[in-house]
Amino acid sequence: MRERTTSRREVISGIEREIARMRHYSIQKNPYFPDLLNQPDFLVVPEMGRLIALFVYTPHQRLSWRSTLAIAEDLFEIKLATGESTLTAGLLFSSFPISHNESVYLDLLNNLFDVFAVDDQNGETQARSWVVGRMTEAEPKADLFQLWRLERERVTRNVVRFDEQKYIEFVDERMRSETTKAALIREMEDTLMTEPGIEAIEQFPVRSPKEALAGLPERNVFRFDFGLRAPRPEGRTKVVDVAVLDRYGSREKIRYLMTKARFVSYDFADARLFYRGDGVSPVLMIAGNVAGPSHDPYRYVKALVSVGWELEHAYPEALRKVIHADI
Amino acid sequence: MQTFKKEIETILTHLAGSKWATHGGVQEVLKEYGHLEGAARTPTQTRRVSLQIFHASRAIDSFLAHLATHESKKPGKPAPPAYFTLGSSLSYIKTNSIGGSRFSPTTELDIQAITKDRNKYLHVANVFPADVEIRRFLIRTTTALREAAIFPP
Repeated sequence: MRERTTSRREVISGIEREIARMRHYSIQKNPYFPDLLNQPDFLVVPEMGRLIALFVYTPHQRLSWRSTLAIAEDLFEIKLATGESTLTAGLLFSSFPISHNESVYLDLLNNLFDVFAVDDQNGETQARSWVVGRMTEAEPKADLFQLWRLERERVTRNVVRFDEQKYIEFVDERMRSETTKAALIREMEDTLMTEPGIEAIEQFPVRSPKEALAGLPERNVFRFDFGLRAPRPEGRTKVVDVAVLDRYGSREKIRYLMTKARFVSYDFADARLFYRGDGVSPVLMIAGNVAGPSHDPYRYVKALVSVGWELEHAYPEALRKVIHADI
Repeated sequence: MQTFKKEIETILTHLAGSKWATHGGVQEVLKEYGHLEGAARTPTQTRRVSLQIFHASRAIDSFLAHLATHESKKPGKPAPPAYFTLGSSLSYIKTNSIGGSRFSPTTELDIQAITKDRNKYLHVANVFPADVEIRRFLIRTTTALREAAIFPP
């Protein structure tokens, strides 16, 4: 592993200089959209009627599915907030040379972002210049417009379910988890054994367009901690994830969970994406709290509900409630 | 307030980059938002909040009226009323959509609340909102404007 040689501040300053050189109509560094979980680093209007959002990533660790899908979430959010015609560019500034295993993550990001490049410090300024130059000429990926539109409609439908009173306990910062996810899952397994009317499948797989978009074989599916299936053929399947969350340090996990819920709502067939309907019903069982910033404590709860998660507390009685609700 | 200043700058950039930006009427909305940005620097609280309500209302009012007027000129669309108010623009958009898009139910409620609050503060003598109220009012206007900016022309 190589040491990080350039700080984030230096990276951003370098990009700012590159952008400024191009004499755009308007440039905003560090913009602020109230509903985004992660803000773009720059908004650029090269000319009236054309908007570019640039995200710069300087991760401290190697890429993983979690960090990759958290990055994909930024794309979903900016497209939903500003429209599908916003050209969204990403520049990943890696401290380490990109390994063969990581290339699949980059394939997904390349296929989703309108413009995406990696700078692993081998060709430092080339990637930066390429992104800045390319983003002013490129067009948004029209084949994904349908996804952004469908997702906007889905989110609008889901967000109606949000009600502060219903989720007040989830934003109580005093709710801290003193246990681990593994211990919680063991508790859940014990509960499930006392529920003979339900078929529980651990590591329940759900297909999504992620594999097709990343060029992956189909066996790479999303896995949920449990799938709960009623024996009746008409019963719905609920998929359950357990998460230990806290006010601080959970943002990447939440962004990952957001993308997971978005992707499992779609399927990919005949080279096109389509909405799956209500087939998969994801439940997030939370230990701890999911409080947002003090001026907007419900931000994360609202975000999770908007993408389709049903929120419950991670204790056995809540699991029983999920089982007997409408499965 | 620093965050809000940044939010207003972001809306200005977003609007300037939207497909509506090249329309003449929207240029005026952009300028109105520039005035709203400047109003935040007014030192006296009552004057500041009055100016903020004035500029924020005019911006959303004019923008929605522009969208509705633009839509009404498309073939097959019903004729617009003699003039658009905030309420009649919302009603027109709700019925006819703008390029097939409509406001989300929560934003519709926000626009109704904007109309009510604006009337209260602009028509009743010596009534001024507290900072919390003006913040809520401005958040509602910016939410509505952001959503409207992504309607297809």
